[in-house]
Amino acid sequence: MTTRAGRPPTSRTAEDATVPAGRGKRAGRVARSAFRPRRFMTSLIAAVVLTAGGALTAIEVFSVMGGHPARIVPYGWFVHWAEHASWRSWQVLAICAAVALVGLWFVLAGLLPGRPRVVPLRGDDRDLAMAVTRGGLGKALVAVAEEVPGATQARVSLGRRRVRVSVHCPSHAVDAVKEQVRRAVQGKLEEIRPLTGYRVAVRARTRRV
Amino acid sequence: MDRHAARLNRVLLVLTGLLLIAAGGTGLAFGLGAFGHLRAHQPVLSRVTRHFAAVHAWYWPEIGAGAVVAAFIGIAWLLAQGRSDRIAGVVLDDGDGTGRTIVPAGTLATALQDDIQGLPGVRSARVRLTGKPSAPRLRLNVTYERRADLLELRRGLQDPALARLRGTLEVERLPTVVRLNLVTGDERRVVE
Repeated sequence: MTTRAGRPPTSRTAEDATVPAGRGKRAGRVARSAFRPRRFMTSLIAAVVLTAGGALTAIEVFSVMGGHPARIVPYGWFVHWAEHASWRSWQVLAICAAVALVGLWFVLAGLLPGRPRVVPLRGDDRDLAMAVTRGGLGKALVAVAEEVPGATQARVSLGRRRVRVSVHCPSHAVDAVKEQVRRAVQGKLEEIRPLTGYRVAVRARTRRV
Repeated sequence: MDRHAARLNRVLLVLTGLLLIAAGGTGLAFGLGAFGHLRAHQPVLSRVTRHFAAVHAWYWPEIGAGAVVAAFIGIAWLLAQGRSDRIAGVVLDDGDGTGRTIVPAGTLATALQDDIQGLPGVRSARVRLTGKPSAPRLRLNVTYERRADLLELRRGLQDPALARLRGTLEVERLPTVVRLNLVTGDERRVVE
């Protein structure tokens, strides 16, 4: 049982209706951009490797040129290996493939927008970007689902575009409870107004009564 | 970390990634025979390469200089990760060019925090002023009662809270980013 929620026309208030469509879109773009991942961890790894690699190479090169090799890294064995390994040996091919793959990872991390850790909300003001934490949104939806008579022990899983709700309910009232839970969760999403239109899927876990 | 650092991250990641793809790709091309089978069978560090480095005096200094540049870029990149975009105060222009007033960010943040905490449903609020002293921005962390109306909170933030601050600072725009944490008394398991 799935349905779309998040941006139904019925949820628009009278105030929203007076807002030109372009303003809402621009506000949405601003909200999405404000909560885009900053690629902190990938950048940290890349920056540490770049700094360490650059510093070690510079120290080794200039210390050898000055006549007092620092030998912080044992590059003697690497030179020996590189003098004997051909370009088509599997070790060299594997290292080159790994380097290219890391490069691809960095390029994709830089170019792809990424999934925000919070859920951006719709609004009409581009100077006011709002988002709710995923945990907070999940708990709010759990509470709403558990308010439905007969539904207990609700669990909510927030996907990219889908909200999966799982509830315990008596076996004789599965269809009715599922429909009510779906409506309740959908209603709450319409109230919270996430920028992404979520689909609501409800699963009922029955127990012996 | 500010949005400038986010942009810097993405640009440097793409550039570093392209360099790594070029290096790895060239090695793979050598190994897979794109430059001839003879080249594929040669060692990675051939006599030709060693001879080239030996006869050109600029070779090792250039490698060293390149490494120093890479290390400096790396350090700058690392420092950017920890840089805060918080500002200490906001500059108010008197308009007639005779002088300017600096309002401490702490004072403004406390006033706005009090305003927001007065809105229905708000449990707590934390305000941070970022951007430039002449063009401030706001980052708000608001803990909000999940049963309360979010639309009402949005309206309350727009007017009076932010409108009052805009009036005080005499600025037309005050870009604000709000991170809401919906809370309640009882906690349930949520699978993310």
